[in-house]
Amino acid sequence: MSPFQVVDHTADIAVVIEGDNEEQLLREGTRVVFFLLTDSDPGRGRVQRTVKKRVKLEYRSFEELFIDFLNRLLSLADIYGLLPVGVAPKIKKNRAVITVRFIHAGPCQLTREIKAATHHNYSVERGPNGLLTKITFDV
Amino acid sequence: MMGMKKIGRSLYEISMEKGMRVPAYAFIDDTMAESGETLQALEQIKNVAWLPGVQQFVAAMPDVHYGYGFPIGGVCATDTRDGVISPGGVGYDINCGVRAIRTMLCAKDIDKRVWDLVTELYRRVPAGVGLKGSIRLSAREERRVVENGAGWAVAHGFGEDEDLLFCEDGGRLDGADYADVSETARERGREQLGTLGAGNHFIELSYVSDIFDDDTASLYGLFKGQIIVLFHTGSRGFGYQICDDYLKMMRKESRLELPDPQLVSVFIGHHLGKRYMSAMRAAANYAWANRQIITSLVREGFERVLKTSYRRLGMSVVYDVSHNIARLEYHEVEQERKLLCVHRKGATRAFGPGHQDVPEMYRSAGQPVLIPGDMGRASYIMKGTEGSMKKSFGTACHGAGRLLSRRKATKVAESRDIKGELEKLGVLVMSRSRRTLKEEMPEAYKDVSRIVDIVEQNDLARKVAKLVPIGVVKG
Repeated sequence: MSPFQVVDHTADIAVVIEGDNEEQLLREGTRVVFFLLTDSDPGRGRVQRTVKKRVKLEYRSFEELFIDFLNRLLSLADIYGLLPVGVAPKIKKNRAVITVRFIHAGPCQLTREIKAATHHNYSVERGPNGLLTKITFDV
Repeated sequence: MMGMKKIGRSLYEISMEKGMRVPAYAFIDDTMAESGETLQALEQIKNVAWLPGVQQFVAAMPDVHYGYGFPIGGVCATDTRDGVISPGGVGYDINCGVRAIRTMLCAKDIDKRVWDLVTELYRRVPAGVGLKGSIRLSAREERRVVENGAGWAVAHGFGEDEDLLFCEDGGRLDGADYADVSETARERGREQLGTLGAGNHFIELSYVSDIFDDDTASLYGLFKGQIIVLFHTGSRGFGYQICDDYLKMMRKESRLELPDPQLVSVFIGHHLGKRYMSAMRAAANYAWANRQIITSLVREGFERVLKTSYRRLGMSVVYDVSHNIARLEYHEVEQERKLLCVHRKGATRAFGPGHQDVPEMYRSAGQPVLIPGDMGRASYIMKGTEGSMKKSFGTACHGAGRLLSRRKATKVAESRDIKGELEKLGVLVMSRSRRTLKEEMPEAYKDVSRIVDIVEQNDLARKVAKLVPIGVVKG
């Protein structure tokens, strides 16, 4: 089963994402961004040269970090056409440095415009099997 | 179960609950009142009634649907002295709006040229995700765009001064300071001017199928059979980023207890309230410049296909409305004239006859209210009323409102040829994405004719003309 699932939301798109821990949730969140923008999975398609960027974020809670990170990925896609294909997060208290590998979006590869990841009905639940969250993206 | 009382033919009052500072009304019919989707959205309008400084009532328009924080199709007004401003009450696409351009052409004049026009507009106006416009703004020029709005575009050769007379606020809000816009937002804005975007943004060629009010139609320059161009877009990534930046900053500073974190707000006099108002106005001005440039591209497209000047074709702006915006407006509250911050999210201003903010030429009738429907059925041009000033802070609906989620719509349309189906209905469509066509297919929306009937029943606006689509460009 995929660690993320698109669920119904009238005007926008809601996604349920699971991860064993915070790092994995960030990885899965990255896949969700790729999937929503391109309607495909980053693991598929031809091998492409990647570029690395470091995303530095300060935060008060993991919930805040996660959504800020997704929004940063969306703005990088919008400005530079960069699509995230992998992440290496380093999370310290109140500060995260996340190294993200990107590919440049090919012609017509971007198929959907996402305005933002929102805080609507948003929380990160922690259970015995890890973390679970539902995020609504404004389309 | 939500407590709701029917108080008019298509008007419901939602029961007051703990936390609500003012009553909430919904302009909906009985079928909508029984729909789970509508009820979810009405839960959100109840939350809006919690906002500090909220005045008189909050209201849901007939096209209301579930959003995030505020419902789409919601209006509320807060006191500028002790009330809040909420970026969620404006939305990410700040000053998303609709512009209508009339022509002197009749449907029969372009009968065989519709496809040429649609393909030319598709080629000329960048539509879809990741496409940049032909304008590259320097930081200095971008500052001028956000300070001057549509006027910047006209000064750079995109259209005429007269176009500005027919934009709300003349296509520019005062008080936009570029210093209040983040570097990321500035970067997002630099190459997106003159682009349509994706999702529910569109350019539509339609013809006037019905006139309901001869005098007002004549005042607005409309006649039966006439070709009208309608388009819908906003402030693009520039506005999205401003909304996100300020939500984030407010979340850190606001101590207000609200039922949904996406409703985060600060007092209008708070330093972040002032900065957000300034940045929101910057995005509003960006959006007006964007629609002005697209107006010019549309005119050029017509000129190229029909081989005559746009002036000879009579292509002038009927009106330009904003449906995601917060404005400072005077309204009468308990017999006192008060300056309020009116939040309209997915809701259109509908000022009635005599209002000083209505262009002089239209003032005797009220402002045009542009209500786009879906790709296959219809759109409407309505006029504002005095009734709306009392019942909804001068507001009407903004469209048909979604009925199916994007996921459901895609599923319903899975094995269907939406483009072919629309062609059979007489609507030629160009779209960059087949998925967008599925998500945006007519059945994904409520019937706009039903929505505008409810608007009219409640005297929020009155029908002037019905438009039927014949060509559509989608992102």
